[in-house]
Amino acid sequence: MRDRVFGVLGLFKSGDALLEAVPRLKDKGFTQLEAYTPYPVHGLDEALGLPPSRVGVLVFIMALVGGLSAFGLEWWTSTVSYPLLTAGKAYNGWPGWIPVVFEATILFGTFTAGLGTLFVFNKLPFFGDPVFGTKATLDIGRDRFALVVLSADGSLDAPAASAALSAVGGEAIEVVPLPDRPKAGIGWWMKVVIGIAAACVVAGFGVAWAVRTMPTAKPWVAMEVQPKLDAQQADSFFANGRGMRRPPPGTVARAYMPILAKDPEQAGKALVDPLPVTARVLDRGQEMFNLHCAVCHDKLGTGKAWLSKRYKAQPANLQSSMMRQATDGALYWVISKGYGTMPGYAADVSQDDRWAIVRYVRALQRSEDAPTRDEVGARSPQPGQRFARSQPHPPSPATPN
Amino acid sequence: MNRARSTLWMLAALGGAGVVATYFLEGPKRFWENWLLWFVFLACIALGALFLVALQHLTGATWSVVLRRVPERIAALTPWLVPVGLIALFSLPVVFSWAQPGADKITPIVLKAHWLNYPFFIIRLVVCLALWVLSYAILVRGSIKQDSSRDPTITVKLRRYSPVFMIILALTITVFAFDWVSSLEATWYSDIFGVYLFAGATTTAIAVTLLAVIYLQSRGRLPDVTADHLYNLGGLLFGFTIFWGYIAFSQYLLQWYADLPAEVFWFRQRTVGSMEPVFILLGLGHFFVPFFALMTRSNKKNRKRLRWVAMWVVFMGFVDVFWLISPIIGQGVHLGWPELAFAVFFLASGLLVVGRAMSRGEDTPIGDPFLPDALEFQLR
Amino acid sequence: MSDAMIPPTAWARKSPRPALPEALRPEPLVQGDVSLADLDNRIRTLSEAKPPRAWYIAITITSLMALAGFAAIAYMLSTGIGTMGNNVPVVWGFLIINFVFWVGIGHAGTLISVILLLFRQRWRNAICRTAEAVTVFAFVCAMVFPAIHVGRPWLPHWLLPYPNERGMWVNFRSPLIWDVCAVVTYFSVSLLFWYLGLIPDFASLRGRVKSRVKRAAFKLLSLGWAGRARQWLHYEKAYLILAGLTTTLALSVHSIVSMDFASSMVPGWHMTIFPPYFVVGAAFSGFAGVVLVFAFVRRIMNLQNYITLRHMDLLNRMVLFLSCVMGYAYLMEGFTAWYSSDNFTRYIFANYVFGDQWWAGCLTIFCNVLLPQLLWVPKFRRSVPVMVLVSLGVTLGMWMERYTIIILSVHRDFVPATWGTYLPTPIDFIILLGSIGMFLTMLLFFLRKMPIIATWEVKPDIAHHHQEHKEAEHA
Repeated sequence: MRDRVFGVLGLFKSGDALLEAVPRLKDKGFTQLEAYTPYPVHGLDEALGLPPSRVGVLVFIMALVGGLSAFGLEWWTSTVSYPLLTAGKAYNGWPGWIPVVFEATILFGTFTAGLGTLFVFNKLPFFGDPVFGTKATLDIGRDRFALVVLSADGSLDAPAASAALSAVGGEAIEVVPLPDRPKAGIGWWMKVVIGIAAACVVAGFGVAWAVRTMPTAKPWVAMEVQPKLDAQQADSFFANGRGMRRPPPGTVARAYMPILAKDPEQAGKALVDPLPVTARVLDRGQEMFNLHCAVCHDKLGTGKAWLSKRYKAQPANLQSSMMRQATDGALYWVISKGYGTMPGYAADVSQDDRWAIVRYVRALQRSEDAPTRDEVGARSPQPGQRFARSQPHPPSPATPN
Repeated sequence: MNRARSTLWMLAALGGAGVVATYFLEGPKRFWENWLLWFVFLACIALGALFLVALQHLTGATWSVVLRRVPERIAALTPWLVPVGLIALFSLPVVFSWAQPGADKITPIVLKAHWLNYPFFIIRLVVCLALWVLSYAILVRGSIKQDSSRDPTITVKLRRYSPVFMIILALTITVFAFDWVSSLEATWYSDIFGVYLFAGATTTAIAVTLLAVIYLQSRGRLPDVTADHLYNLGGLLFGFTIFWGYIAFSQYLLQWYADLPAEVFWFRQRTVGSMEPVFILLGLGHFFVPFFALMTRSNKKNRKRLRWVAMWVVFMGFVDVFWLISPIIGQGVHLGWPELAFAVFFLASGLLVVGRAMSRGEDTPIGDPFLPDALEFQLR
Repeated sequence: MSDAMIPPTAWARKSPRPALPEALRPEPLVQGDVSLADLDNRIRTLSEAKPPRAWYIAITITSLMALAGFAAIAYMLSTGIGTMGNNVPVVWGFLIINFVFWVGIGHAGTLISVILLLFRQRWRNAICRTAEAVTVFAFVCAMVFPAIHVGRPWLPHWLLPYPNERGMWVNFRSPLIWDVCAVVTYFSVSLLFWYLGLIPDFASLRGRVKSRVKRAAFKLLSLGWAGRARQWLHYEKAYLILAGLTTTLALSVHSIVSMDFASSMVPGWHMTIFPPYFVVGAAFSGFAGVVLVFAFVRRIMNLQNYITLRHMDLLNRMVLFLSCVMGYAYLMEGFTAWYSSDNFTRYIFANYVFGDQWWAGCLTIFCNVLLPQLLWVPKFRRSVPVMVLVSLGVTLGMWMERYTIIILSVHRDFVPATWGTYLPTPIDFIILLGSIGMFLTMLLFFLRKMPIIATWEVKPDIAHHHQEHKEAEHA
């Protein structure tokens, strides 16, 4: 007679007794066996004919995945996406990537081993093991070793199995019923897990919000409140109550060396352009001129920019002979302090840049009135040919000859 | 065995002739570089073998008793280190940078002249050799005496001596590494160097032991060494390979990272140009290949695979010492008939020494009181 | 078969075992006549019964210490780093010392649990669970420090490589990033390994505790573990793989922490021996910490049968061995400092033991190398007062070692004009005290609320012990 049961269970006092019983039961014809032990008994998986565990293969694969992904991330971020030379190391300084690769390999491997064995191979959590309903379950956790003769799809000759188990030394034989069909819907433990997960999500958002607002909420003033005087801050230490003080007379700001000359003529005698005539200086002068000066004086310095028409102003024509005869120092004085309607550019253009502009202005002037030898590929003038320059002019002091 | 021994004698003689010829045909530098190479390599194997013996006594391990006689026999190389080492002293003025004529102008070398000078150097070598031969006598003779006397108190004495030997080994192998390898380029320094040589020595010694065990088993000797014992030896090799890789990489990474000129020139010599393939071979071959080969249980129990891995590891141990020492004569990798002659000479002589030791007495320490445990050893 | 053909080892199999001298006789791992059920009941009672009053007093004190620490941290975070002793030139102070200190102690569990498992040392079974707990708790304490030691601790997410609107990535070539990866990995793996080992113990407790809350908690935590043979098959394989991987992880973590220092150019920090030296130091402080915990736990909680004097002897041997390795490391550092011919390095090492804070270097050497030499004497290895003294000394010595390395190297480096002193403030000390309080609180909680001995690992030893007893009786 065959009953609908999960199996018949028998308890043994030691792991060795269990091991001895397994082949004897198999000889009696009961080949479907399962064992429940409080600790792993060695030799049991061979005796029961269990295939070896494949956890190792999965761990190896995932560890490799982890290591290669870490290497790939490091390679991409360090050489492609955000290449920065730090401490003289090349972008692809691979020795510096090895520690993170190693850690990632271990991380992936260990988590696969731990979580993989639980969730994938052992299919835990699972609270429905049939043995949990038996009287023996407490003993198994403590010090007894259970052998269960399993039924083949639910039906088993229970008395025969019980007799066989007693014969090989099993005690407290009991029949393990099939578990009830699992209730549809989520088990209580699943509810707990979902609850914990939800709490984690909420907590995560909460922490993120706290981290974002904390620096700005009092009393976390961090480094915003510092015992130094900020701009515009009042201070009772000084008589007029102001924290900001005027610098003492004669203070010179950096890169703001004052021009002591009173007028352009004096400046012309005192100041000399310190910059060399190189392509770099002229390029810089051109850049600054086009930026600051060309709006009024026009790119060629003629003074006929479109702005002038609207302003009804008359900027100086830098190509005029008066301007050609002006000294470098005078030009510099005018750029720095202004002249008439023209404002001074000392605050906007640095000293070096102003001298560069002076060099460039000279180059502009020369370009409109160049001697023959300046022409690229110049040929000797033919009789009757007209030149750019209409009349001879004295060489300007700054132009090398 | 007689045929094999006479072949070895012939090879040793042939190699010896080549060795002598190297001095006159290729010059003293090449000769001494090779001599040093083999001195260091053989010392590593001998000390590693002694380490294995002492390790078993220190930890009270019982599974390895059945094959302990093998490293004891390999350690028979120790007394022969004395003539090799004393001859190597003549290489000081030829290849050691601190003993060269211009060394007294190099400030870093002058500042350590208290350590790097002829008398102290020679004393250190003599002390190291003496301590090694003494330890060999205590560890190995004690074990052999136990064969006939079956006296368990010898095991007690050896267990008491093993921590002393470990301290002696730690200090002497460090001194040896600093003196004979590091001071070749005396301005360089790395304080992990003693540990580095130790790691290489133990890895090579375990591999040599494995090879010896498998060879003896193929000759019908050592019938009691089972696949379980070999698994453990393979596991030890695996562990020490990882240890070597860790030490080697830490040294490289730290000196690469700080990029100090005083340190990094040593690595530059060994990682650029014709040394680059040797460097890559060392990294891949000394670590990755044995790591993956010895990872699985089935590989560690398989005699044939273990033999291949062990041979590879011994070869890589030699490549390691080659990588350390050969750049001292500059101009890239030298591989020619002198290297071959030296290899033939020293390998043949080494095999003769170890072979003669193994042919005397028992193959297993039959007097050890824990031999029954070793014979019954089974992997769980 | 004639005598000549019998292999010489045959006599070893045939003849009865010779009587071993006392020094060689193996000592049992379990003392007394205990059965599997006895162990089970003992562990259940310990985690279920109401703890004694002393426990409540102790946990109150440690909680107060922890709270004081948190208050100090809150004050420091709201006011600024200047409330501590950090200043130019010593910009890394107590916080980093404490971090390295706790990470070091955190190596206890890994080494005992994992490395001894790989070497098949059965004596680790009774002590591994608590040792792993010590690891997890020490790491929780350790991770507080990097979080608070930066100038803007509200931006910790900048340490993680996530795509952001600035287009920036972390500098993977920096040891500080390696640190982040290593510590996070190590903590999560230790937690996983500890939890994995607890599952069968939770399962054995779940049916037999009386409180409904505890029963539900253990049921959930045990994930429905039934102890089936195929569950154990996968489990054991995973356990072994985890052990192997975690061994290498443990070696790597403290090596990476050491590279925070060794990859720099600071004299005294840039020594290639730092990685294994730090790992050995971590193992050393870990083992000493475990000795300290067990010296008290086995007495107070009456577990002498399972955590025997043999266990303590073996732990102390490890402490002694590691102390000798530390001695070698100090010797190598000192020698190589001189051998390097680099004036700055030579000065720094002389400064450690002869300089203005000579007491730090000397205390380090005394506590770490000289004091543990007492353990060469077998009697001292089994004497609780001596081992407590040595372990306390080692714990102090290892903290002092980190102090020496971090502070003494930086307070006098290349340019004498930048030399300065480090003056720790009360906040520094309160935070350190708070971390100790936090660790002890968690440990006390674990000792009375969770299974502190891995019953599923010790039960086979008990069974083995019974079997050997039976065999000895029969013989």
